[in-house]
Amino acid sequence: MSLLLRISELLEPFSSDPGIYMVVLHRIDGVPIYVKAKRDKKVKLTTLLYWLEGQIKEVLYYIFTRNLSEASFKFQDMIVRMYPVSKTLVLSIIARDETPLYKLDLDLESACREINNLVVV
Amino acid sequence: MRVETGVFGLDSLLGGGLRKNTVTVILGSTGTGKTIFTLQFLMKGLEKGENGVYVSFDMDEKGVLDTALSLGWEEVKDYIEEERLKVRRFFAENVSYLNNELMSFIMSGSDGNSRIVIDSFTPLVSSLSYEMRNDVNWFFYKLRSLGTTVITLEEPLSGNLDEPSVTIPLFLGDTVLQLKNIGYGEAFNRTLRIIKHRGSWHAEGVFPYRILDGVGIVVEGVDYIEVRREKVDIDSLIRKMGVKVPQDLYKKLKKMCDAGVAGTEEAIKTILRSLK
Repeated sequence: MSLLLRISELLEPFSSDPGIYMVVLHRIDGVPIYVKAKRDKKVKLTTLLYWLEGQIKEVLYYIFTRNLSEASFKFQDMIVRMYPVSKTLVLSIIARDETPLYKLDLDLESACREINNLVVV
Repeated sequence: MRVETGVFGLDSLLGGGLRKNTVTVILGSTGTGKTIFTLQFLMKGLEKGENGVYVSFDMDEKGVLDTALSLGWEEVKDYIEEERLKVRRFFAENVSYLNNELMSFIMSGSDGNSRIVIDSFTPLVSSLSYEMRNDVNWFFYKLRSLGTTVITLEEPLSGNLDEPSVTIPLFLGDTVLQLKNIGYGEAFNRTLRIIKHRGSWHAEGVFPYRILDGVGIVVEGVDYIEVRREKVDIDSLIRKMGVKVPQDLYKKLKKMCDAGVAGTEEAIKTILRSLK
C-alpha cells in the first residue's frame, strides 16, 4: 500500500467529522500533500488554503523553535489548528469555531505520530 | 496511442503514458533526477526496439554512459555501439535552437517514432524573451514530427518561474511534469506533480518518488488514485434528478463516467441541476 493511501486512511475519519471542514497535510514549502474538504465548503476554504500555504514555513519555525504541540488561528466562524507531524510536515485542521476540538486532540496527536512513523525514513 | 515513460508508477498517473509525437517538459531544480528520468525514458524505447537521440549540454557520450552504468544499466553501451542511441554534447555558447547542426543531429537519429531527449533545454533558451515564443513553437513543432520528446528544464533555486526561459517552454510543451526535492530526507522529500497533460486525463496531486539503483525513479500513488475512482451510473443519476438530457450531452457525461475520476458524480449533478 502506498504512503498516500495509508495517510488518507489515517486522516479520512477526521474529515468525516461534521464539525471539520477541511484536513490538510502540508509540506514545509507550503505544498499540500493531502487535502480533504467538505464539498459544500470548498469555495469558502480556497482563500484560507492559499493563506495557509504561505504561512506554513513560518508557523513550522515557531512550532519547532518554541517546542509547541500545536498552533491555532481564528478566522470569523472558523478555527485553524496546526499540529507538527515531522520536520517537514504539518497537519492542519479547519473546523467550525464551536467544534470541541479537545475531544479530537488525542486522536489527532495519535494520527500525527503514526504519520511521523511512516514518513521519517 | 501512448508512449511508456519507463518510469515506474508514472504511466498510470498519466492515463497510460505520454502521447505519441508530443513534447514533454520535465521541470526541476538540481538534484531532482531529471537526467535519470530522461535515461529511463530512452531505455524503455530502446528495450522495445525503438531508436533514441540524446542531446546534452553537460555530458558527452562517456558522461551519459557513466550515469547509466552507475544505475546498473550496462545495456546502454550496446545501444550506443549499435547506433540505436545517438548521444552528442553541444556547447550552449555555440548553438541556438535554430542551429542547423543541432536539428540535423536530431533528424539523423529520428525516424518519426524515435525517442528524443534534450537535457537540458535551459542553455538553449536562457536568454529568451517573450518575442521569441514563435521560435520555440517552431522548434517543438519540428520535434513532434520526429518522435516523442522529453526535454528537461532547470527550475531556478529561487523558485521564480516567471522568466520567459521557463514560462515559454511550459506553455508550449504538451505535458509538464515538475520534480521537487526539498532536501530534508523524509518520505515526501522528492515529489512529482503533473502540471499539464494535453488531451488526456492525468492524476492530480503530489506524488512521492524515490531513485533506486537498478530501476531509477519509482513514483508512488497509483493505488491512491485507484481507490478514489468513482463508479457512477449515469442513467440512474439522470432518472433520480428527473431532467431531460440532450443526446450530445449524454454522450459526454457517459464518457466522464467511464473515466471514473474522483468527483465525477458531484460534477455531473452540478451539470444536471443547470438543466432544470
